[in-house]
Amino acid sequence: MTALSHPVLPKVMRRSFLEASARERVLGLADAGSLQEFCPPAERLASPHLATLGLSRAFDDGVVVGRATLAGARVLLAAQEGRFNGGSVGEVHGAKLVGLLQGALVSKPAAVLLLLDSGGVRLHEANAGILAISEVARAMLAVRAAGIPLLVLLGGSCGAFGGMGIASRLAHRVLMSEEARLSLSGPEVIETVKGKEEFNSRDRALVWRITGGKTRRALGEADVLVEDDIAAFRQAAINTLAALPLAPAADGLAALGQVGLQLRQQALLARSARFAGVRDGDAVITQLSALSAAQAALADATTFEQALAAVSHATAAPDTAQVARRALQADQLLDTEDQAFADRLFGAGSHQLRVNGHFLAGTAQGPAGPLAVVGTRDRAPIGLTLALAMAEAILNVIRQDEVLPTEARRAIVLLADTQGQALSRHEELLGLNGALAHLALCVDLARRSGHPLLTLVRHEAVSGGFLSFGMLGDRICALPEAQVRVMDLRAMARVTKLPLAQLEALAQTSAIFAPGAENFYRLGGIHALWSEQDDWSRALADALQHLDRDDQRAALGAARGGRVLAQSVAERVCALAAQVV
Amino acid sequence: MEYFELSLPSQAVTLAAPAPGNTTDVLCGVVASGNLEILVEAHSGADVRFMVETTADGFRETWDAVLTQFAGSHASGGLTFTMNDVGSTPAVVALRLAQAHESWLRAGSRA
Repeated sequence: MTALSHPVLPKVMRRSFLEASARERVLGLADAGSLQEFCPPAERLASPHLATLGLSRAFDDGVVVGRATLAGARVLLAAQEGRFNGGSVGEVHGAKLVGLLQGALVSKPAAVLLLLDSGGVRLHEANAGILAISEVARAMLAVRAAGIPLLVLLGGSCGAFGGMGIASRLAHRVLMSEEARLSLSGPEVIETVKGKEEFNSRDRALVWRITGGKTRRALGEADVLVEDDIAAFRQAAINTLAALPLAPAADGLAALGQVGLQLRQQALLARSARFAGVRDGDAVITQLSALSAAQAALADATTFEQALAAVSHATAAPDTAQVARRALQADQLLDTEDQAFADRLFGAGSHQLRVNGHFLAGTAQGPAGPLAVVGTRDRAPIGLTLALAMAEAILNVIRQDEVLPTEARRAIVLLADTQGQALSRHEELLGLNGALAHLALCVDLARRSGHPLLTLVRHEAVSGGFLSFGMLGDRICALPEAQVRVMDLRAMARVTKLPLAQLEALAQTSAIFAPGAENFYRLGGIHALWSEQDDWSRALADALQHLDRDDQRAALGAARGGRVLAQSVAERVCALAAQVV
Repeated sequence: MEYFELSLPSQAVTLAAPAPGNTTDVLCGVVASGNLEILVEAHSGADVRFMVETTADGFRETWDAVLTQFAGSHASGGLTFTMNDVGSTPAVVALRLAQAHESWLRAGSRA
């Protein structure tokens, strides 16, 4: 008996995707010699904001965008460099992605491939960063709706977190290695706020069981598990594109329509019920595959895919889904504060709003016809249930107005009052990022079905919670008490290791990172600020007359002088990506 | 953060610039802790030029030694090396410069 009982096949010529740089990844993915980069490093599109803070910059701001061919087909692609500031999205970085996606709408390539590797917003330019991610999300939704296949490839060490975790799930398909991670809040953030018992961020095995590729693939949050090999990613992308159904009706995945979203809503509800209280990925993998936890840990990508295919994906019994559904109904009367707020906004007796915890929904009589109202209240932490409740309410509005001509469909007022996403290991395990992406898809479907969308920010609008619905509005207005932010300055000073005094001083002149609705107004992320003295009914009527059906926020930010690069960089990249060569 | 430029004599680089659009071939390294990126471009002069932005203040003598050694050992007259550095050790800088130089020659030979 020798120790060498297992003949291991030599991994000849295997080039790790994980260890490669962004450029090496795109070069290895595309057909040899076909890559043409847009705005390459020599153009020095570095971040001016990092320079202001005295921090190192990169010539490409950490993202490669360009065109290439993949197995002969014309594609547009982007790759984030995870090693530069954690692949984080700042103004220029985000604008390059937006430009690429907008160009795709014109040149209609065979696919757009996004090799994401990002912790989310770049905190050094936090406000511009979250707006950029929101613009990336809007552009992804547009590409998707245009029926252009959109793939996200995850194989880097940063994975996709924060806003990029939500954006990833807006793609038609997610291809992912075991080594990559996909989630919303980082384990460190959850541990800091909720304690080590909730999520021990130092337990690497646990972190991967919650957020890693195998758990995500088992849940269906990723569509293909890929070996950590650039050639394997290339082949998986080619195979996935060949198998992608493009007819909108097929399974709704090309332009996920109403039926597709309703099916997904049911699947997400059933999954929530089935895995209620589950806090470890092993329980998910063993239930959804034919493997034990130990077998799953050792399985290569092919074995793992086979083990998933061997189990029929039974959904939870309908009555379980019904129980979960009850948590989605807003059926309680408003408290006195909400009542006074709604009276001032819509007029006393002109609204029928109901609440359920942090969830609020109903109807109101608007200045020019009936309105639907969907939103959150009381500084809601947005978790799976609340996200699905809002998605359900929006799908209901779409269904109720289906019989009406497009122009007669009700405007939806999105009331945003959120402290951000809920922080919990369980919610991360079940893919809160995916649930928020689902909500975003429902909001986008409402827009495409003809429903005008008006967002009103009431008390707080913070990060991921705001990103997934409020920031998708055709017009976004902030009420006087509204606090809009990514992170407060103290926390930002801790994370960026910059002195608080330096950040406070810079915040006096720059709208780029400091909290506040006024700063978001200057950047174009808030269309209008309402004051305490305003007549809100009149302001509401005015807002409903001034809706932007397309995303104009970068232009607004440029016109207001707060965000001077986003529009011009996006336009430059878009002009190149729009060409067919 | 420190910024400086340095011009040094060096033997003329032998190959022409790579074809436009192939600029991916002349960027080396990544801006990350203990690492740097180097962009190589041609200029019309005979010297080799270095433009360095580094987060590590007060290491000018070490930089001069590494860059002088490189200019002497690699024919790079007519090239500009622009660097974004996050505290690389001299060995890493020397390695990346050699890689960048080699990438330039490889790209040039294809052009």
